[in-house]
Amino acid sequence: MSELLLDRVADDIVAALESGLPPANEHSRLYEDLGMDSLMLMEFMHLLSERRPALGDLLLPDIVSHMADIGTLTDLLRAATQDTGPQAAQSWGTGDGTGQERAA
Amino acid sequence: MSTAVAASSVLPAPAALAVLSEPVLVTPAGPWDTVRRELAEHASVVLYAQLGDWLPESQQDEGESAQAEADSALAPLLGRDFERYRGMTNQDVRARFLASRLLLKYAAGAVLEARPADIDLAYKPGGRPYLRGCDQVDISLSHTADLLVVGVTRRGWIGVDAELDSRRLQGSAVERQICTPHETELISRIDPRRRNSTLVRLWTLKEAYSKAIGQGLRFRFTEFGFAPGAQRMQVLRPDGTPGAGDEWSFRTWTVAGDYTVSVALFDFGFGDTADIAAQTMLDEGMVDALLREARRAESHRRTTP
Amino acid sequence: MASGTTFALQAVPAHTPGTPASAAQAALLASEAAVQKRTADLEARFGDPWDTGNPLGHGPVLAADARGRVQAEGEALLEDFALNAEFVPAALGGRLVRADALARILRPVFRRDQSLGVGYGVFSLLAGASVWAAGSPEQQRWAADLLLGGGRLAVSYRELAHGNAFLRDEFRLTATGGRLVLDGTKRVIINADRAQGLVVVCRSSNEPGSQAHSTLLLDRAQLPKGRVKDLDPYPMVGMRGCRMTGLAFDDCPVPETSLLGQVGGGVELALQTFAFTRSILPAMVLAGGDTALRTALRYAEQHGVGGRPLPRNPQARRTLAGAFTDLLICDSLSLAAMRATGHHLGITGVYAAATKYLLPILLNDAVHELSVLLGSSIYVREGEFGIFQKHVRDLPVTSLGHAGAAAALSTISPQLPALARRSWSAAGTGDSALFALRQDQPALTFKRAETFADGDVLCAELLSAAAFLEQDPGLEFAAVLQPLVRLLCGELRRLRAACTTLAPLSRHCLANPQTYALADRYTLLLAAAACLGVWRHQQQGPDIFLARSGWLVSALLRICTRLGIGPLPAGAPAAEAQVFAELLRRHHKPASFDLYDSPLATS
Repeated sequence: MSELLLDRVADDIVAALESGLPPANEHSRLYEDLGMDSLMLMEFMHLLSERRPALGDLLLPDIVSHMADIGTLTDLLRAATQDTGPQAAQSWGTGDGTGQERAA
Repeated sequence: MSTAVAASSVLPAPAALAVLSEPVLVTPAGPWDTVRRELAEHASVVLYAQLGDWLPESQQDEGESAQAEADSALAPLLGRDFERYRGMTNQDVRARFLASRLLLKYAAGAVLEARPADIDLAYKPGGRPYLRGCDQVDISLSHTADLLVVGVTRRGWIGVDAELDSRRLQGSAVERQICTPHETELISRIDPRRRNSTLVRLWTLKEAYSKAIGQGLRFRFTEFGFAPGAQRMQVLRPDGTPGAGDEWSFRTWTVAGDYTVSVALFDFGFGDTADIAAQTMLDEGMVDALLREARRAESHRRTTP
Repeated sequence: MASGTTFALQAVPAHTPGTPASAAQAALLASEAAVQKRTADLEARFGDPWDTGNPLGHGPVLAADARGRVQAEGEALLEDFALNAEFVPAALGGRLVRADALARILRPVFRRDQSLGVGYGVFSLLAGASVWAAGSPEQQRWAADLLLGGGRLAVSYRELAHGNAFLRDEFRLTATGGRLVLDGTKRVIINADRAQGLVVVCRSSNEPGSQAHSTLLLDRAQLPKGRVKDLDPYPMVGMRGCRMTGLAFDDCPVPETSLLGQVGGGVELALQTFAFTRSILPAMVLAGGDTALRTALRYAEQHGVGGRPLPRNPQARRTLAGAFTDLLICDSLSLAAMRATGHHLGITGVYAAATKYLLPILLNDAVHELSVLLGSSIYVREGEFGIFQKHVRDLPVTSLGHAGAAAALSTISPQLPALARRSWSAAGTGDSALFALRQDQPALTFKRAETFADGDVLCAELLSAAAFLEQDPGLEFAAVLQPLVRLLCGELRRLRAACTTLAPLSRHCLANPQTYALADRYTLLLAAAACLGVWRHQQQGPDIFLARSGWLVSALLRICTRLGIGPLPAGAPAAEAQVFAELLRRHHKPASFDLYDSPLATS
């Protein structure tokens, strides 16, 4: 069940990164709506980097701090691929969130 | 001129923290006396609970109006968490969120000898829960599937984590992301049939530790490790050399048959604050002096227009 | 000696150490130029802590800590600098004029080694405060001469509610057969075994309430041998270079003249001195956070974080900027609290308690957030980055944990109902006295100040700043600042409503978690108000970075997050980028990570 969910969300995000459009269910929150826990999050990151090697090494602290919803996470990953320092920071939203709760 | 006797009678034994009793199963009915006693004796206690025991009956109903009504009754109890709770669309997540908040508030109320609704459950910027204004105890929360776990300590910081024993980590992408080189080496020497349970244990220890320092997944799990099977669990550096010191203690249990539960504890070393009740926290002398002064100022105001 | 040379340039005759300073001399001691000079002098004497050849650098500090020893070279340096004179009021021949200036002068010490700062001197200062506030002229002269001669004072407080090993047990003073006798054991007293002067708060009556304690100033050399014993050092995880022993008195006669103030006046005297000591110690300790941040930044610049260099690592930059912001929040609140001591405001004790309560929380959280950047290097106890873990271990000790927080809340909670009823609704007069970080102000007198809060200038500043922002939408980041300040004003209104309903009748009515949570929220609002005050009154000031809005946006966002109020406006990244740029500038200059931007020693 959880793997199916992760697959689907990863597909949605990869499609969004390729098309430049917002991802499906962009307002779905990873914890509150999808019920991701920290292990699922780690698996999810692995899925993403497998499907889109251009993302390079994703850093878990970045993801944890930006996993408010699918849209925010997609924005983060977009910035990471065209990452050029301060400009990237501009597009990175404010969502220092409740990473630990999501990881509880 | 030194008196060693006085010292030994006051100092906490170095291993005092490691002596923790088994996690205590709690429902809203308790046993809170046991929880208070454990905390008094061992300075820390781990509680666990079944999800179903902590859901108000209405939450298990299907009717929407019944749920809305129950929600309004929950508002004062959940405080500032209520808005977040109301915005949750995933029913499983919602139920676990509610049950774990109720458990935290009841547990805090029990150990502080206060009403659960009076407890202000707050969150650090990194998401770590704490009791606002009541740092005589530190708390930590974990929930997975049908199990809720809460850790409480009066000595320093605590982190708890729970995971299903059957959770598959061996061979998963996660395995590579969480183990230090030293751990990978140790695990490769373990009987393959026991590797997954060892990994689950490692995972919960790591989560417990990083939650105790308030960082959760932000602190990379490959930056610190443990030696599975060691007599005394301690934090190791990635190469297996000692990391953090004796101020840290760890324990792992099997709970409710199917779950691995770990706890990490940090001792500030101030010794015991035996009394942690909220009601005795204000210093009598200071408050008395300030209140007398307040009355004096008030009567002065009344007499001088 | 540094102190004399500054004044040679002035028309006022140079102040000779050990002799009472005239008002003009005192003003010069506290002038911005003199404070800068003394701070720079101490910094230069310590030298570059990162220089591996420096006998006062991080390496030797870590080595002394590993042995659990006082750092002898550091103590010798402070003796040579005559640091003790900073703890003695100018009127008694020392250099103490202003609390905020004193904290600033001590920061070079605390940046390097918190146990040196606490162990060498600060406890002499905490003890001395009782003597300056209540001592007879003879007692004051004796204590001043002791300190000016290089001696030490130790202080032992009474048992407080929820006391731990540091604040448990108390001495008992009894009058038998016309003589005063001291009994009892106190497990932890800093420097007890090497201080000639002891300030001892002891129980002098069995009655409950606030008049059951008295304070003594004892000359250790005059106490009969065999009636007082030193206890073994108390082992601690942090501050290992600090002498933490204890004392046991056994039927020990003490002279009648040793009383500081009245019999039964111990609690009132403590409240009076706490209004000064509770803000000044955290204001020094925050310099330890400076070093933790500098070490994390140094590590991140050299090694990147998670394999990604800093310029391509926005999350790491955000963490660093966040820690710098926290230090500025801490410094703003402690500045306002310390400057309040010079103005005899009734609320000084509340601000000091808020500083004592909030700073340890912010500093501990900040260093743990920074630990993410260092990864496994947080376990290293030597070498370039070993100093980080030392500050992580030392920081919690100075706050005394829960016992310290409980004591601070015991001061704040009883005053909330009256504050809510009388203050918190009217804007201030725009007085910059508490926020003008480089401006001189009236000298400390330690005389009996009102210990009960009448007005709340910080909350008034919050309301004034809100009005100021609404009037000028052209200010930098105004679109973010306005909603933030509205959120904070809304929180103040909620706090006012909640505190007005508190029954201020007795300890019993106040003593519940709801009150403590309100007090916690109040300290966060005070911190926000202090930041706003520093920023607003710096608009025409010399500190350009503080006059800009980036740090303020970042600070208010962090405070609102802690208060759990929202929704927070977007716009953090640009503000954080401004803060990070300043952090880097100061790191490379190098200069201090506090309000002052003080130059640091380089090799």
